[in-house]
Parts: sequence; structure tokens; C-alpha cells
Amino acid sequence: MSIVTASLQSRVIPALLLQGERFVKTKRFGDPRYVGDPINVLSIFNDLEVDEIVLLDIGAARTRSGIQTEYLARLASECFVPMAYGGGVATLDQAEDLIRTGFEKVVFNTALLETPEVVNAVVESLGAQAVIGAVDVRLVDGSYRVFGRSGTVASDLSLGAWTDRAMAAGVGEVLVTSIDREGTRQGIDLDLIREVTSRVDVPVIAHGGAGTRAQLAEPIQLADASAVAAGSQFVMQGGRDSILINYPTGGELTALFQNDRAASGGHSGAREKIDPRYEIPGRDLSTTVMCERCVITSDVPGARLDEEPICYYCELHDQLDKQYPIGEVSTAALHAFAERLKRAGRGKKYDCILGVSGGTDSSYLAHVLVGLGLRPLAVHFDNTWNSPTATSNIYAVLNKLGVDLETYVVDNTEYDDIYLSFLKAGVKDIEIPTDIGFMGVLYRVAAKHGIKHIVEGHSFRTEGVSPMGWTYMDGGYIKSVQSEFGSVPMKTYPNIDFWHFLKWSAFSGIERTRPLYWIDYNKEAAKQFLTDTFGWQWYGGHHMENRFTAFFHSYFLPKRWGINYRQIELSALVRSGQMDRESARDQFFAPRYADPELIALVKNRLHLDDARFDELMNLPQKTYRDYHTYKQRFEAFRPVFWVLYKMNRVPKSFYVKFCKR
Amino acid sequence: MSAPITIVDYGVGNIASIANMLKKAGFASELTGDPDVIARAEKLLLPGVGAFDRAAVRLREHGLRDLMIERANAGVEILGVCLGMQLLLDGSDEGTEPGLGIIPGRVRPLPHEVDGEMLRVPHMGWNTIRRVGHAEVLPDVNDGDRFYFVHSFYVDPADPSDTVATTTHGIPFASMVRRGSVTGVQFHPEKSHKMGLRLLSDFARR
Repeated sequence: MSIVTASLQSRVIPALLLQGERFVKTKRFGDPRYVGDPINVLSIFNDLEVDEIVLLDIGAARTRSGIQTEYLARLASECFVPMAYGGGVATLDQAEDLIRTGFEKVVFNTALLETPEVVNAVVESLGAQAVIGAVDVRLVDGSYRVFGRSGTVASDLSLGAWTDRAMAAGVGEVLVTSIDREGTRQGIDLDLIREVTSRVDVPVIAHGGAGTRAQLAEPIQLADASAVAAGSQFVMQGGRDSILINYPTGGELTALFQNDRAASGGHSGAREKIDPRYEIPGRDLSTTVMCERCVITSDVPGARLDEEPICYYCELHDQLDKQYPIGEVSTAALHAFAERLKRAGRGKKYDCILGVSGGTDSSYLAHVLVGLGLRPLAVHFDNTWNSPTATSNIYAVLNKLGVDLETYVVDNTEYDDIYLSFLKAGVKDIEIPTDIGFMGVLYRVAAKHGIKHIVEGHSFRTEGVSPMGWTYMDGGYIKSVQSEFGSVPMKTYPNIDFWHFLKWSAFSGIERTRPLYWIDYNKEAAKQFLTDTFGWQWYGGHHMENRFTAFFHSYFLPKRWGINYRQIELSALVRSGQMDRESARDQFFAPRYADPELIALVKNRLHLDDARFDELMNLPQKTYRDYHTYKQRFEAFRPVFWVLYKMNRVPKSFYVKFCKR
Repeated sequence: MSAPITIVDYGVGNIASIANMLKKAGFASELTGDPDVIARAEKLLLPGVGAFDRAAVRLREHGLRDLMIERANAGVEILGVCLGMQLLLDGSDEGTEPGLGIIPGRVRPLPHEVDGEMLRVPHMGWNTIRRVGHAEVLPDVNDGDRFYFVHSFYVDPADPSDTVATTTHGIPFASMVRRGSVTGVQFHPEKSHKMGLRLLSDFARR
């Protein structure tokens, strides 16, 4: 008798492994590798509209020492898709707590082996649909053997005896995991799945080894499974197994399962009205004058509009524009640069390092580099606050271009503590840990692979130059703020200390280049091209591809400091003729909208209640001068950095802003 | 400003998820099992998962059974979700306890076999709905929208005109119902992402 699933859609489920307050990925149940911050990863999967999520606490499963109920409630609050929890659930009370907390299903594995009566009691109380019976199976001497306690203890039950027991306990669903295949990406053990589906009449979730999109469909089409779960595939990308959250698009799923999935989305009813509490008006500009060419106002540090009708930043733009004129000269310079990189890369796997964020500039630069015949190694600094758009964009662009990726995922606990320290410090530079961390990772990866070139997706034509008084950053600043306000030591954060910076820029001979300077780089055209070519998505604003950066730009800076970085970007676009001044003025004066969900996410992640958050937002205002930084040392080493700037080892803006008094 | 939604807390169901989603959609809600509060509420949401009898008994023990019927008769907007929908009927083949009897009809088990083919029960996963009546009810919920289902029993209204939408799992069944001011949905809007958000926003704005 065959089984029909009627019109029900096959479910594709990320299976995520929790260890403490971190997500990890294992291989054959061993070697846990850090994947990222659970709150952020879950909210990415939520936004990608995954069918369902299975969360397994492998620490709790092994030790059976209890469940992190409070933390799980915080995780559940980020998810509006069905969630199942497993790991150390041993009593009916615990199961009821989980359901109340916001989980739909409870997974029982060891309990089914050791205390099946508890599972039965949960079925009686919460219903079969809330109970998943899970079995971990290893092939031993040609037959399937059942293991408990996260694969560490062999059970004397045969697989057949296990399915009988699960059905007798009344579970509503079965999750089968092949220990041998888990994390290997070799494909699902279809014989194992068939053995189970032929013995039970409840839905079966196949798990362990689905490494490619095509392998997702196999257990459903060939072994009667109702759903497929996978870990590695959804948290890693490419041949280097770099950490990158991803999930098939609606179109991919439709093609895989040959049923229509592209239903969700469409018009959103919830966001029609903008809550006025989250609209931040432009700052009071009544006493300022505006540059006659761009939209820089006289209160912007360094604008010099009191003396001149045209601001200093326009002047700077014209200097750079003269230095990098668009035309035959720049095209020749770009090709000469590419040839130099190719020579340097001879005999090596890569010619250069490219930092990628999923944003417009780095995505477009990846395309440019590949077009020049270069072999970049893309590097991503995952600060565990990525938006789903960022990870989807990186995945889409690099996959299609065939560019390898290396990801560095920062320790979420340590990193969030650094953010909190900066908030406590009362300064505006709370987002510099991302900039320094990103650069720190690029230098480290370059040094590790012996690659002498780092290319940066910066373009003065579209981004402009950020005023000195608006940000200051260096590794010493981060170190001193963290040692004064932090509650955990800085151990794994890829900081750039003074001597390493000097070593990498001076002695390792690592050059930093911004190839977009040589291109007539038009932001709107680039966005359109990326969308058409890669299915890349616009994320609604410069720097909005990262959630904390988005919070920083849309809420923190305008609200607490009256700073709106759009002013810099809009001015740059006006100068380079990509926008007219009137539209730029209108956009600059329009109130900024801060997404309340984003603010809620920041509070949830950083454990801040409303009162504490308000307190931090209203601290006395401090500047980097109130803390120890490298500024004086940069100034003292000014001649050295002048030479390094001339050698293309540090950007001009670094020399101008950091080394001059 | 629309009236806050009162989520009936009688110890059954994943009320946190519903409250989380309403919060995300920007609507005020309160969780309560207090009959005095429920007696004054302008909009009620009745959640529920698990066994029919257990839920029916808990509702009665909380002193809410007669109160819910009274509120329905008074024309208060009520949304029953999943088992909360099934409780609106006269009774269920799953147990022996009476339902609220607000919507005439019975709750029946999904078949394990249709035309000689085996059907996996519970009906678990994403499925679409087809709107068949009451166009004025939850107008932003459309034909073909996807929702998350997980249930082994389905609602069989005695009066076909109470059916708002149907879904097919082996057989077509009523996945949304409406009678008077009372609506029921078999699926879980609080776990149905954007579509669910839209449905709950629709209900909140009514």
C-alpha cells in the first residue's frame, strides 16, 4: 500500500545544535564547531521563512542536567515558524514548560529508551502532535543499532523494537538521524529511512548527511519521508565549509519537490502604519548653512562652511576625482593592477583577499575582480548580527562566481560584551568593533595564506568620507574600553593592536587597494546589475545589511547624537552626479525610521530591559579622548605612515584622519 | 486604537507564541484566566493544543465554559485556534466531554486511509486554504495562502454555511469557520509567519 501525502508540502527543516548559548555543528556527533549566536541565527532562519526548526541542546542531551528554560524562551520569541526542542527532557513538567514557552513540539530520544512511560504521559497530556520520538542510529557490523545520550550509549533495542516502542508510546512524529552520516554531507542513508517509514504510520523526518540541495529531496521522493532535516548545508557554504547561514529559495524548493511553494510573502498587512515613536526627525539645522554643492551642513566637523560656500568634503572629492579620473587612464590603471595581482598570485591558489559583507559595494567588486580574471579569496567577518539578506547575498554572489569563502565567526558572548562596554562608555563609536574586527580578520587571513593584496569595496564616489569627529577607531581604543567596562576578557576578538598593524602594513608588505576608484561606479546601476545577475537583494539602506549596524545608523546615532550618516552618502552621490541636490536634500530632511523590531532584538541580545536601555541611551556624552587610544602613537609615527600611505599599505584617509594632529 | 486582545489562559496551549506574534504585529494583548477580566474583554482569543477532553475540563474548572458561551451570545469577537477552534463545536469523537456548542457540529478523526491509500496522521506541515464563504471575515486571508497545520481531528460543521475555508489532507475539511461573531481556525497563525501575522493583524483590527 503506498502512502499519499495529499497536498501537504514536504518540509525542509534546519536542525540546529545548541551548546550553552552557542550554536555548533558536529560531524558524526563529534568535533563541535562554533556556528554563531543562536538568537541571530534563529531570527535569520525566521526571516528566510523556513518550514520548521528543530533545536537540539547536545550539552543537555549528554549530561541530562536540566534545560535552559529562560534562554529557550528568549530564542522562541524570535521565531514565528514551528519549533521543536530536544535535549534532556525527562519529565512531563519540563515538556509542558517548553510548550508554554513557545515551542510546538518536544523531542524525546534518551527518555524513550530509559523512561518510555514519561513520553506516554506527555502524549496523553499534550497530544501526539506535540511529541517527536527521535532515534540516533549507527551501522554496526551491517545492522542498524540504536544509541542514546547523544550517541554515546548503545541501547539493546533493535531498530524494529525501537519503532514498536515509539508507536506504543504514541509519538506523533519520528526523527531519524544517521550518526554515520551526520555532518558528512554524503547524502542521507535511504535504506535506514525506508526501514523506519515502512514500520510507522506517522510522519518521518530524515536527518543526517543531506549535503546538497538535491539530496534534500531524496528521502522524500525515494524513501517515503515526510520531511528532511539538515544542519551543515544550512549553516555552511562552498568547498571550504565556511560558516554562512542559507536556505533554499521558494523557487528552488518548488523545483526540488515539484510543488508550488512560492506562496508566502506578498503584501504585508502588519507594517502599513509607521509607529510615530520610531520616527526620528532631522536635527535642528536652523543655525547652520548648507554647502552650495552637496548637502553637508556647517555643523559637520571639518566642513569649513563658515569661510567657504563649498565644503571641505567637496574639495576632497575633487582632489580624489583628479587623482582617479574616469576614462582610459583609469581603465589602464585597473588592468595594470590586475596584472600585478596575477603575478603576485602565481603558484598560489588566490591572488587577493576581498572582504565581503553582502552589501552592494563588496558584491559588485567580487564581480569586477572575477571579470578581470582574478582569483580572490572572499573573507567574511561574521559578528553574529548578520541580517538574512547579508547571508543570502553572499551565498548567491559567491556561488555563482565560484569564489571561495572563508568566514570568521566571532564569539557571540565576548562580542556582545564589547558592544555593551561601548554603550556603557558613553561614546558614539559603538560600532567600531565591527570595522576593526573586519580589518583584523582580513589581515590575519592574508598573513596566513601569504597573500599580499587586500582589496576593499570602498568608493569615495558613492560613500564619501566620514568626518573625523563622527568616528574614531583603533584597536587600543577597543582594548581600553573593554578593560574598563567589560565583564569578560577579550580573547578571541580579532583586534588590531598597534604593533600588529605596523607589522602587517610595514613588514608583511600587505597592500590595500580600492579598485572601485578606477571605475565609473554607479550605485543604482550596480544594484540593478546584482539583482538581475545573482538574485541579490537590496536591504533598504547603506549599512543595513547588519542588524547592529542598522541599529547604530537608524536609531543610536540620530537619536542620541543627532548624526545622520545619510548626509555623507547623499552628498557623495550628489557630487558624483548620481543624484540631484534637491532629492538629496529632501531625503536628508525626511525623518528616519527606526524599526522597533530591531530595537527589541538589541535589547533581547544584550539582556537589557527597557529601563536599562533608556539609561544607556542617556548617559553623559563622552568621546574617544576620554579613553586610551593609539592616536598619539599614530601621530608620533606620522612619517612612517606617510611612507606606508605612499606604498599603498594604508589608505590615504587613514593617514589624513589618524596621523595628523 | 483597536481594543486589546485578551488571550484566554486556561493552562492549555502555546500562549507565549501568540502573544509574541501580536507584539511583533504591534498589537496589545493580555494573557489571563481571570473570569472577571474575560467577562469585560472586547476581543477574545481561545488557544489550545492537546487532547479535547483535558482542554474542555480545564476550561470548565477555570470557570470559563459558560462565560465563553455567554460572551459569544453577546456578540463579542472570538477567535479559536487549533484545539481552541475544535472546542467551539458540540463535541468530539476524541473524547466524551461536551464542547461549547457555539458552532453546531462535531469534531471527527482524520481518516488513516483514503481510497485504499494510507494517509499519514497527524496532518502536520504547511498546507494551503481555499476560501468558500464569509468573504467579510479576515479579508486579508486569501485563497492559496499557506498555513502551518498540526492536528489529527478536524471540524465538521453541521451548517455548511459556517465554513469559511477548506483544506485538503486526503479529504477536504473546514480549516476556517465562522458563526455570528465567532471564528475558528484549525491551523496555527502564530507559527505561520507572514500569513499568520496578517491573519492576526486582521483579527486585531476588526
